[in-house]
Formats: sequence, C-alpha cells, structure tokens
Amino acid sequence: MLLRPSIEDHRSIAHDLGRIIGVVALAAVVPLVWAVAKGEWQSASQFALLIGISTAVAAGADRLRPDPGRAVDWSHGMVVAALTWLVVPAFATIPLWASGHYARWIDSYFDAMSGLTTTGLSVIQDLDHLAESVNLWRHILQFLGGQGIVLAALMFLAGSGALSLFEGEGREHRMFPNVKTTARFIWLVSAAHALIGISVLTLDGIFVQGFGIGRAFFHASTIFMAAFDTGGFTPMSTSIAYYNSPIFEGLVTVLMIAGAMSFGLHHAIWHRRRIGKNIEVRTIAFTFSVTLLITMLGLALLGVVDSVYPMVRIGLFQVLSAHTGTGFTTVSTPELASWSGLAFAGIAIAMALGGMSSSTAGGVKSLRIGLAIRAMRDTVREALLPDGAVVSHTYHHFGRQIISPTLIRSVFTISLLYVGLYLLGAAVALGYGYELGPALFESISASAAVGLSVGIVSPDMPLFLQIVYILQMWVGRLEFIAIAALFGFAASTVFGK
Amino acid sequence: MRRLLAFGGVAAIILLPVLPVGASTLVDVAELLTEADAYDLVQVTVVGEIVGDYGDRGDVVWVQLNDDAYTHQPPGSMRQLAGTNTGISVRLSGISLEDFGSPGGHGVRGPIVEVTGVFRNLHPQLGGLTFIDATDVILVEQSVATPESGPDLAALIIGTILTVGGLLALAHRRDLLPQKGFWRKNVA
Repeated sequence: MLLRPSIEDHRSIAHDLGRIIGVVALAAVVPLVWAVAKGEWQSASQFALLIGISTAVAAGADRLRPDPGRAVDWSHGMVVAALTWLVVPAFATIPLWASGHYARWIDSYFDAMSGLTTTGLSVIQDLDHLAESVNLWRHILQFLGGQGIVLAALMFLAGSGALSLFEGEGREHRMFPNVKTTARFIWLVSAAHALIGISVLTLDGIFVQGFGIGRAFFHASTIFMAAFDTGGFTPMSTSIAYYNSPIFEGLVTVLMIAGAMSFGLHHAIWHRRRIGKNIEVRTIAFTFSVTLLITMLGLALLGVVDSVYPMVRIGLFQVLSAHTGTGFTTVSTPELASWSGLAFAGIAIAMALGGMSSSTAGGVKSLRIGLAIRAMRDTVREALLPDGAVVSHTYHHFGRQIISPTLIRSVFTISLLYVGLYLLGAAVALGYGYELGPALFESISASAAVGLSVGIVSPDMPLFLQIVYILQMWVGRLEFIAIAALFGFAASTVFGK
Repeated sequence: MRRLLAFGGVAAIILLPVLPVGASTLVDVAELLTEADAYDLVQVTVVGEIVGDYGDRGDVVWVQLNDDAYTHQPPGSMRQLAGTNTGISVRLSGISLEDFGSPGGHGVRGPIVEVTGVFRNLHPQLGGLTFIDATDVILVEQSVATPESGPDLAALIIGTILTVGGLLALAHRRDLLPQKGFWRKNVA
C-alpha cells in the first residue's frame, strides 16, 4: 500500500529546493557585475530580476523549515535532486530568454538544461553577437551543474538528508565520512583547478592567441568552466576551432581529463596514493585506447587526412572530447557529420561509455563498464576452472572491494537503462525521418551529457524531439534513481492513503 | 610585323600585374564547409563579417569570418533571428586591419570584408586546421556600433525590491536584524 506523504514531507522538500534556488541567486551576481562592467544594461536588468525572484523564492521556502528534530527520509533527498534539475533551469532561463537569442522559451530552457547537465548541446541563435554577461551565464550554469548545485547547497546544509541529496546527483563515492566535508573538498579541488586553469588559459590568450587582456580572461574563464565541468559550451560558434592553436587544445585536453576524473581519484592523487590498480583508471585507459584506435583507423580508411600529425591531433581531441563527455570540437559540424563507418563508431562508443563515476562526466561510466567486464570474466573462469576452485570476486576502487550479486545487478540494470535511453531518443528521431546514424549519435550525445552534434539539434528541430532530448539530458545526468524516486513520490501523493 | 610584336610585348608587360594569376571562385562559407574536399587548395572569395577577436600573433592575424543571415542584416535595426552562425577561420598575413574597426560582437556589427585566398581543408602541416589563407582583403563596410538601449527599468525595480525583501526576510528569520529601534518597529 502506498503511503501518502504528509504536509511535513512537502514542506521539507520545498524548503531544501528553495535553498538550492538561493544558490542560483548567488551565482547570478557574477554575470550581473560583468554586465555592469561591460555596460550591458539590458542583461544587467535581467540578472537583477533573476536574483530578486530567486532570493524571494528562497526566503519564502525558508519559512517552511521543518522541525529540526525530524528525520529526513532518504527519498526526500532524491526527490529534491530530481526536482532541482527541472526547476533551476526554469529560473536560469530569465536572462537567456530576455537576451532575444532564442525563438521560443523552450529553446532557452533547452540550453539551460543542457548547461546544468553539462551536456553542451545548444539551440541558441547568433551566438557570436550574444552579450558577454549572458554568454558567461551559460558557462556558469555548466560550472554549477558540473560541480553540483546540490553540492553547493550541501556546503551550508547538514542533516540526514545530505547523503541522499549527494547520491541523488549521481555521485557515489565519499572521500570523507561527512558529506559536508566531501562537498567542501570537491569545491576546493575545483577552486584550485580554476585558479591554475584560468591563469594559464589567460596567459595563452594574451601571448599565443594575441587577444587583449579582457577578452583573453573572458575566453579563459568560459572555456575553463566548460572544459573542467565537461560541459562543451564555447563563447564562439566555431567551438575550439576558433582558437587555431595546438597549445590551446593541449591545455583544454588537460582540463577535460581532470574534469572526467572522479573526485575520489583527485583525492587519492592529492594524497599521493597509488592509483594504478584502480578499476576505473584501468577501464578508462583501455576503453579510451580502443575507441581512439577505432576512430583513427576509420579516419584513415575514409581518407579524411593523409598524414599522421593531423590524424593524431584531430582523432585524439575528438575521442577525448567524446569520452569525457565534454563535446568540444575542432572540426566543423559538416565535417563531423561526414565521418562514417569506424570513425563514427569510435566517437559514438566513446560518448556512450562516458567518464568516471562521481565526476562531471555522463554516460554509463567506466566503473560500471569495468565491473561488468570483471563479472563476465569471473563467470567464464568459474565455468572453465575445476569444481572446488575458488574465484576471487574483488576489485580495486579506493581499496579492495567485494563484487556482490547486488552490486552486479545494479551495474547491469543502470547500464541497460542507459542503452534503453540511447535507443529511445534515436527511435523518436527516426520517427521524424532522420537517418539511423545521426539519430543515434544525437540521442547518445544528449543522454550521456556530451554535446557533440551532427546537425539534428538546431533551432528548427521538431518540438517533441526537443522535449525528448531535454528529458534525456535530465534522466542521464541523474542516473535514473532520483527520477524513479520522484515518480514514486508523485504516485504516493496522488494514489497514496 | 616587328612593330606589332613590340606593341604586344609592351602591352603584356603593362597588363601582367593586373591580370589574375588564377581565377577566384565566389563562394559562401556553408558551401565551403559542406564541399570541403572539392574546394581544398582552390582560390576562393568570401564576403562576410569579422567577429570575435583579432588574434594578432605577430606575423599573422587569425580572425573568424561569418557569412550568415546576420552578416547581411542592416546594422542598428531590430535583429531578426535567422538560425545559427556559420563561420570559418581566416589567416591574414601582411594585411593591415587598421581601418576595419572592432570585430563583431554584442553591440557591434563587425567589418564586412571580401576575403580572397586559398582554402585549406584539414591542412596537414598545421595539424588539420581548416581555414582560408588570405592573400587579399577588401574592406566593404567598416564595423558599426549598435549600442543597446538603457536598462529595463521594470525588471531592475522588481528585481531590487524582491532582493531586498528576500534578504530582510532571511535575516529576520535568523535573528540577524537589530532587535530595537527602527528595525524592531518597522521590519521585525
């Protein structure tokens, strides 16, 4: 029998959601200051409105604070996490929609969702004339989404709901016993990378690219946020091809790798622990090598490039961008769309596999791939070895862990759900008459939060397909569990007794 | 006959510098990118707007040349949405950009130029870059500032009121406001 949630349950969820919306108000101060500094008064007004509405909602929700002694249910955190990724983009659209660069409101919601889920697909029009402050806001959304807007709220939030909120965002590994301390560590790692990343990219902008100081800093800040959070938005329409520089691509590559690493791995590296045995490190090294090999072989067979240097540079960057879920590109959309056969397969597989768990990357994730391979290997070994032989069911992931049947069931369930999600979006696009290859490519890109596109995602795409991609980005980012909790909560509210 | 040959020779010497060495094809960026293989190493002419930045690297300057619907909209008018941008990198060497004005961006319609140069698709020596290696640039129209109007007062006022009200409510809830005097009487 379903139990109907009490009014206290709803108050508790609204309170936490309000607190997270308060983070949006704080974040919007940065583009507001930028807009004032650049004399972008229209945008400044819209950021003031966003801050006002978010602050008022946060203050209103604060009055719903539940009884401190009341235990917060695990599912509440999941419901808050799921709602966060639906509600926050709606607030974030205020300056986007007012910018006049979107034909429909849903387009601005699409971009806000794409930003927060660190996908990077975009339907913005005339990006190259967009106000800098609004452009910065698009990238800040990626930073918020990648670092975890919930995590930002957790830094100020204690209580039993914190753990489920943390897990609801699709994060699994805690470096510290306390979630709040873990959240602070993640933001500390990010701040350190931001300081170094933005400084180096700014210097590159000034001394290599030949930009002015202000523009170099703007490019550095936006590209840092998009790279480290594996987002994929860029300030200019030609993506990373705008910079025409191997040095710049190299720096961006380092940031993409850092972004796709789990924060647990960052923690291990900071504490100089050995990571060579880590199942995720081994798996991602293997899958990256295989997809790179497939892509390069495909490029060679297609005759796209006939010398080694451009093939390595283009292949390496594109596969890394796909595997980390970033979505940057150094080739034009028509060029990418022309890649068929093995080159197409290499990029699509890399996108579908994704980065590490508890990172900003999306996709199935290397931990699940590694565990699935290990489970299959153990099954084969058990079948081949003599009766009575003992097969060790363990793996290394920040220490020796046991492979339990429950864990394997969870791994295969989530992996299959991802495959189903990839196929669902492809089926809808096929229904609109798109070819199988592009339909699958775009669906994987949306579900695995990558952002590479071969042309289906555009301002004139069908509305229903656009809504499907929005849902794919949402579901893919939260890895199903929080969504299931939200639907369960909604069903209990309606049908419960 | 000798006179005729002499006249022909003189005419050839005079005309040689002004005759084109290779015919240049007027093409748009979208076509260049979709038919990149066919245009590789072909001398092309593209008319478009310079946007973003002048990437001045000493010996060469890199720019992005957009050739889309926005290039041809009159500056200062209400901009009509017409899809995404279509642009390509252009490498300029030994070409002065002094009179061009600011590159296009928010509040600026960048200089409209006619670029002639060799199209390079996935250039092998430059790591696979795709760009136009410009040999000549003609300024068609200087950049034009299209400043935006002032702030949206309604949004600004509503935003400010809601922010102040929200912050006061939060402060009151946490007992951060002074407990006597004006605050006690009027706010708390």
